Amino acid sequence: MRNKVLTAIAALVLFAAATDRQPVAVEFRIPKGWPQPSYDFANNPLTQEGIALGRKLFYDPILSADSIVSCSSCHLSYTAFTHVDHAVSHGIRDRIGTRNSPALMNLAWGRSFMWDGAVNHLDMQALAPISHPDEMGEDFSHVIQKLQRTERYPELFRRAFGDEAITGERMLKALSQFELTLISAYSKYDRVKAGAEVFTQQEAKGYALFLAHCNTCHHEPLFTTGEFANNGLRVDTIYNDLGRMKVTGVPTDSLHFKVPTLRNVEFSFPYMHDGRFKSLRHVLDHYVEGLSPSPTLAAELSNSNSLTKDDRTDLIAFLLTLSDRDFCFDPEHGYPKE
Amino acid sequence: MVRSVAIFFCLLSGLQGLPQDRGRALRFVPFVNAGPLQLDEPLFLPDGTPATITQLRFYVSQIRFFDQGHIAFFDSSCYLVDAGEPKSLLIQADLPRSTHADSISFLLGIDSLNNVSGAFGGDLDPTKGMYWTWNSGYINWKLEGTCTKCTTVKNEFQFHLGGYLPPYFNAQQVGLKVKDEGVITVEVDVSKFFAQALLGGRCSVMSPGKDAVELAKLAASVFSIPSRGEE
Ligand code: HEC
Ligand code: HEC
Repeated sequence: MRNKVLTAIAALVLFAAATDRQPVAVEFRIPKGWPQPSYDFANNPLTQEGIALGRKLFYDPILSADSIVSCSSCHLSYTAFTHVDHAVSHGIRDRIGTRNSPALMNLAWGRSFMWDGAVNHLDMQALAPISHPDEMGEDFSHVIQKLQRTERYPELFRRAFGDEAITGERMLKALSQFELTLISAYSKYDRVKAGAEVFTQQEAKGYALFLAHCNTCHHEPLFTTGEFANNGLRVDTIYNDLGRMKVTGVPTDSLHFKVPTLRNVEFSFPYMHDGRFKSLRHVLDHYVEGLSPSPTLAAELSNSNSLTKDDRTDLIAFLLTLSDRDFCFDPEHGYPKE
Repeated sequence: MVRSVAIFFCLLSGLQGLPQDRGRALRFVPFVNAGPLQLDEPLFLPDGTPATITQLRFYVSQIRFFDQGHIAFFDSSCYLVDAGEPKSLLIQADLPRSTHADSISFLLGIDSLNNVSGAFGGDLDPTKGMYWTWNSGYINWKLEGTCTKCTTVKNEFQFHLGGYLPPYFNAQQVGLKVKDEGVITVEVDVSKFFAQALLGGRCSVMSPGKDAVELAKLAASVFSIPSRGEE
C-alpha cells in the first residue's frame, strides 16, 4: 500500500517535472561582420526542443503522400542540402519537377524563397513541396492529421511548444527553427577574412576578379543580394520558365531569377534554376561567351566578356574557397539519431 | 417577406449551442436567390442554369464599429467565415452592449502585413486550406461549386480570390450602415457574385491579378444589412 502511494507520488512529481520543463532557449549567433538577419525571431524563438522537432520533421517521409520522400531526399546535408547531380528535382513516384533544388543555408537572411521568390516567408516555404504533386504530393491538413495520430509527435510538440497540440503553425515554425540553424560561415574564405589563413596567389587573383565582376549580385558575405536578375540565360524551351514575372506580373521581371548564394557552390551542381550547366567552367563560359541578349538582361554583365580563360580558372579557384566542409558534415545537421 | 422569415430561421438555427451573446456580435447570413444558402443543394442562376455551391468561405478582419464618425471599437483579429460551419457565422465583439454604433466596416480578406509575416494559428492556420502553397498569400474569398455552363471537369467552378502585392492588392473594405442592435445581421447574397462571376463562361479564377481584384470588388458588394421595413 505504502509503496503504491510512494509510486503515485513519484509519478506525480515526475509528471509535474516533465510538464513544467521549459524549452531551452537557443541564441541565434550572427557571424562576425554579417548583416542583421531578416527572420523575425520574436515570432518564433529558437529552442533546443523546437530545433530538434524541426530536424525530425525534415528527415521524416511522413510528410509525403507515399511516405518515401522527405525534405532531405532533395536537400542532402552532406552536399549543403542540395540534390546533387539532378538537374531538376525528383519527387514521389519518381515524378520530375521543373526546377533544380537549391542548396539550403543562411536562410535567416533570406527575404524571399524559391528561384522566383514566390514564397515570401521561410515559415510558409514547406507548404510548397508538401503539396506539390511532383514533390511530396500531400495535403497539408492531412499531414497534420497524420502527425497527430503518431505516438511520437504529440510528445515532441509538447516539449517544443508546451502542450501536445499539433497545428500547422507549430509544424511550420519547428521546420523553420531547424532550417534557421543551417548557417554556413566557416569556409576558407571566412578564415582568410578572419586572418586565420591566406589565399593562394591564384585564389587572390580570383577574388579580385570576383569583386570586379560578380560581387554586385553575389554580394559578400552572403554571396547574394537576395534580389532578382536576368543573368543572360537563354529561355529554356522545355519549361518556358519566365521566373519572377510569374509572381509579380510585371513584364520587366521577365526571366529574372533570384541570385543564388555562391557559398558551397562546389556542391550545388548542376547549376542555375533548371540545372543546365554541369560545371563551374560551363557557368563561367556562359558569363563570358553565352549571354543571351534580352531587354531585361542585367547591365552589370556588360563587361564580363573581358574575362580570359586564365581569369576563369582563377575565379573558379576562388569559388572553391567558399566550400564549408564543417557545415556539410556538422553532426547537428544530419539524420537525427536519438 | 420570404427573406426575413429565412433570416429569422437562420438566426434560430445558428444560435443553437452558442454561448450567450455577450456584448455585440456580427452574424453573417449567406443567401442565394432570396433563400438561405444550402451548400450542395441544387439551385438556379437568374437565367435558369442549374448550379450548386459546394463551398463558401471568406476572411473578415479589421472590424470597426463607428458611432457618428468616431471609431467606437476596433478588432484586429482575422476571422474565417465558412458557410458550412454555423459557429463561424457569428463573430463576437468584445465590447459592451451599451456602446452605440451607427455603422461598421471590415476588411474582406487579409491585409498585407499578415500576408508576409510567416505562420499563424487559429483561423489563419494554413491547415484551413485558405493559403496558397505555390505562391505565398492568403485566399480572401473562396467560392466553389458546379454549373452546367462550365466545361471543366465535372462542371466545376472555383473562385479563389487573393493577392497582396500591388497593383493587385485584393482585400476590400466593406462599410455598412447598421441599426444599433446587439447582434448585427449581415446578409451575404452570393447570387449577385455568382451570376456575374460566371458570365462569359469564366469558371475559374485562382491566382492574384486583375480578374481577382475585379471579382473581389464584386464580392465586397454582396454584403448588406436587411432593412427593417421588411420585417
Ligand atoms: C522533390 C524534391 C524536393 C523536396 C522533397 C523538397 N524540396 Fe525544397 N526545393 C526543391 C526545389 C526544386 C526548390 C526550388 C523550387 C523553386 O524555385 O520553385 C526547393 C526550394 C526550397 C527552399 C528555398 C530555398 C531558397 O533559398 O529559396 C527551401 C527553404 C526548401 N526547399 C526547403 C524544403 C523543405 C523544408 C522540404 C520538406 C518539407 C523540402 N524543401 C522538400 C526540391 C525539393
Ligand atoms: C546581374 C547579376 C549577376 C552577376 C553580375 C553575376 N551573377 Fe551569377 N547568377 C545570377 C543569377 C540571377 C543567377 C541564377 C540564374 C538562374 O538560375 O536563372 C546566377 C547564378 C550563378 C551561378 C549558379 C549557382 C547555382 O547554385 O546554381 C554561379 C556559379 C554564378 N552565378 C557565378 C557567377 C560569377 C562567377 C559571376 C561573375 C563572373 C556572376 N555569377 C555574376 C546573377 C548574377
